[in-house]
Amino acid sequence: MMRALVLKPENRPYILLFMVAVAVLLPALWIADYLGTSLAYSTLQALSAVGLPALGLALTMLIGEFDLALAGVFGLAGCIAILFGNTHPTLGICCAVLFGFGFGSVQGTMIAFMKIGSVPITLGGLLISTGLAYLVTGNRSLSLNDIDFSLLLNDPLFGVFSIRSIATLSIFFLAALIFKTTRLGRDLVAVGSDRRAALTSGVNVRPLIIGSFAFSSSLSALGGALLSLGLASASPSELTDILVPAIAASILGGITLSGGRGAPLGVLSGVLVLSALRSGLNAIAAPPFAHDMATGAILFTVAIIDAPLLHDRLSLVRLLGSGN
Amino acid sequence: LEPQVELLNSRYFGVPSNFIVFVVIAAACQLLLSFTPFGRRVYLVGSGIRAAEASGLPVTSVIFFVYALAGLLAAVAGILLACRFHQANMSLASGADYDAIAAVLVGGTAIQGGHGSVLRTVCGAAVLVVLQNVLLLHGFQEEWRYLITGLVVLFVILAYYTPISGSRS
Repeated sequence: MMRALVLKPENRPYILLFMVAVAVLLPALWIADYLGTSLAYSTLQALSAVGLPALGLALTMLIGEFDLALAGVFGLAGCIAILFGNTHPTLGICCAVLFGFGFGSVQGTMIAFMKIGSVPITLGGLLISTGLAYLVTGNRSLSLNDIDFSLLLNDPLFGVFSIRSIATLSIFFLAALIFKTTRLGRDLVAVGSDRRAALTSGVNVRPLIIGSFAFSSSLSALGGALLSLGLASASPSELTDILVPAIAASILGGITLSGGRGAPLGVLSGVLVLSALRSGLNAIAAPPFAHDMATGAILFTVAIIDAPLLHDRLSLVRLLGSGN
Repeated sequence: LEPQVELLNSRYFGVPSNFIVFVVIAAACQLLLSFTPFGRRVYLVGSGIRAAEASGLPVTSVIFFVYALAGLLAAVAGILLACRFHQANMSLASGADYDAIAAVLVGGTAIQGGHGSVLRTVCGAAVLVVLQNVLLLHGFQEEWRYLITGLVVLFVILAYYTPISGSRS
């Protein structure tokens, strides 16, 4: 029973999260004051930075596509949020999300109707959105006038939460609820597993592809807008390194590159693994490269464990071993 | 290391030596792809990994050597870059990953595998580099260069990948 639970691929993100949580909490045995609300707060703040783009990327990976442009949209949306946010911060967020929705819809339409792979199209999207970010900012840093709004976004609530982290967690739980209780979740998995079979069984594939890319870009835009408003500044080159953590979180969260496997709560576990690891390593004053190396080692391990033929080959090795 | 660095920074008949290194390596890789069993296996594995495995090709070793070669070429590029700037740091090649993917796609190599060549990728890289240099020489600011490069990449990709009269390139 226990073995079956551990071996089930969909349970692995939660098992990994448990193991990382134990590892992150271990230093509390010898470091006084290690366990405080600041560790949980910084973990959730890191989660709110990576979480939304990771969820958007995971959705496109679920249908067997890939949204490279989210890195560009993330940075550009941050710049838009600050530009319009100086009039009113809420207007900044709305403009950024609307831009993300429009940008993602255009990309999704091109992919769905022209039957072009998502990597080439979104690479073009990435370069264009990066260029637009340089263009709208005039290649300089922007700052938010309303510093109180920035403080409000990061203000600790109940010791560990902030408006940013609550917004991110709410979107994750809402996505998980929709995924679990409506037909949408099953249709997305069906499109990712076998697109032709999904089409013949009556799934509207094109709207799902367009919707996934629109949703992915909107989430990236919202994430970028919240982060930039939270930092009270934005620059075109500042937020472009979001793609690698988003991919890592998705893969750790049980999403496969081939599509058709994974769920929003798994992605949340993946993001929490990365965030907890970063906060834990920061708390013990580990050098910056330690986080990258630890993430890389975990990704390697997960990739090896998830290898499709690993169990068959291990069984074969065992069989040959017992034969000798 | 100073003599070796100078060797890689010098010019022969007006041609920079790191460009000569690039041409030699590109030619060697094209020869490897076109005229050796390994090259044919790379295309076959890219066309259909299951079919390649079923027909007895050493798929694992082909994948192993392709990744090893990719790592080796990235290392050589890193060495050339470090020699050119007389220093090394992690941000020296930032953005090179996206430029590399763009060069491969503009060159017309199929992202799903099985089609493409080194020569095409060299052409793709040349198009991007020439475009960026022309924009620079015409006085375009950095922000316009990004945007125009992105639009050109998207246009070329659309032109390549759009199905024409029922067939898909």
